[in-house]
Amino acid sequence: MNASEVRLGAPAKMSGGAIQENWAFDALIVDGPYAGTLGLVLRTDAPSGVSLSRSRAEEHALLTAAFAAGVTVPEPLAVDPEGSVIGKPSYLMRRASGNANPRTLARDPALDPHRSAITETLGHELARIHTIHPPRPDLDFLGSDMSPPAHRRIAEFLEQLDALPHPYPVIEWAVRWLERNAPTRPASVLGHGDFRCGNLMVDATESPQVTAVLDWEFASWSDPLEDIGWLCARCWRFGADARTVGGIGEFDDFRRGYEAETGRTLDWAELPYWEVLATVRWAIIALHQGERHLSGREFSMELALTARKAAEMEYDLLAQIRSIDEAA
Amino acid sequence: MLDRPDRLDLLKAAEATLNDEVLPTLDGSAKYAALMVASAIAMARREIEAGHEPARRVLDAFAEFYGQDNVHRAGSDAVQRAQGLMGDLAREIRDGDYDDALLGPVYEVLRILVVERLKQSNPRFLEAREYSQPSRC
Repeated sequence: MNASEVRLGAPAKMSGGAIQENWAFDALIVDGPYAGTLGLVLRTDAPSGVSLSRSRAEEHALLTAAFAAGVTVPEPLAVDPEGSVIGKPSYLMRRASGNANPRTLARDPALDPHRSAITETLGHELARIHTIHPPRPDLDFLGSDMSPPAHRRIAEFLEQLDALPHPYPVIEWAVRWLERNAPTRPASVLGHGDFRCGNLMVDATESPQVTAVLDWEFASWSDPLEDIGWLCARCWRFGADARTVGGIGEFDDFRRGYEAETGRTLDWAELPYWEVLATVRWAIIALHQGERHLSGREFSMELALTARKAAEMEYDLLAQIRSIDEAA
Repeated sequence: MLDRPDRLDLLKAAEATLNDEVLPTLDGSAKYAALMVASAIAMARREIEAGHEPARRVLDAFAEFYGQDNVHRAGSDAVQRAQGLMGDLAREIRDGDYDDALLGPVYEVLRILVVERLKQSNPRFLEAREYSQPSRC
């Protein structure tokens, strides 16, 4: 901080996160470049957190890369990968204003006059993430496999299906269709991996805006359309079904923002393919969430109900693939 | 059943009490939890009401698809046999047996498999393709 004195306020644990903990606190910095009151968040592992996802140090590296690329993320300030400060790995970032509750972004009528602008901004945000290209030594933990992302996902899906105790023929069928129609372009950009309502922080006061893109733990080298398919798939609209961009807004607004930022277009005709892939991915995740409940490791009404949502995704898959086939 | 009211009577009473008396008094996270409970009770109630019918309809669809002589539908273990056939079908799909006609006759069996599950878990999805709420994820 380059200050002679920093006074820390009392930390308060923020809600959410079974695997990570977030602690909010203020720091009064008496002088130097950061002089003033800084709203901060310390992110660390939860005591019971068994994480197969990114480490805190890797998250910090992703956040640093995204911040440098101009993505609206909380500015990362310091990282302690070994846990020498508080006894477990952590990193410190600025605290963003607003909330990430999907119901605010998808359902709050107060946002309606601003939806077009917010959706265009999301196009800019995602496009900036997609300006991060391999190779990046600072992101070497993402690996060097640049094989076509759809092929990699399909291999993961089959493995995850095999780990379930019951057969799911509709999902098998959709995966088979994905396999036979997979784009063969290699991975070319950083994919966020979970860019949707719930991970987008919005300040809904006065002139509403996106204040932070959160949850970078699923980031990977991918195809730009994978993130957009995940954002636009019908299963992620939180009841605001008519707004095709994640329940938030209209596709044309998103596209305008995305293309203005990158100065180029994508093969948008391929988007329905990636929406199918997104729906399969969420269906399999939902089934695995149910298994977490059933195994007794994480007894939860919500996880149990999530598994029963898989049938909704499966019904959508039948309709999505049929309509792609009929259009072809 | 050895006693009355039976499990369906009890579930219906629980569902009505929750919806009519408890839910209106709640808000915030308690309301969210109660909505989830109401949704779980409704699913369980519909499953009990449907009895063996869903499994039987799935077996009928398989019989139509694989041939009447190849699917045994009699007996009480309909669910188990339906699951066995679902496993067979899943394997055949993965092996590429239907690659030439993914939208051919196999599509109708798959549709019935999902419809019979949705009738229990979220009938509204069949009417309006409306995803269940609440969901926080």
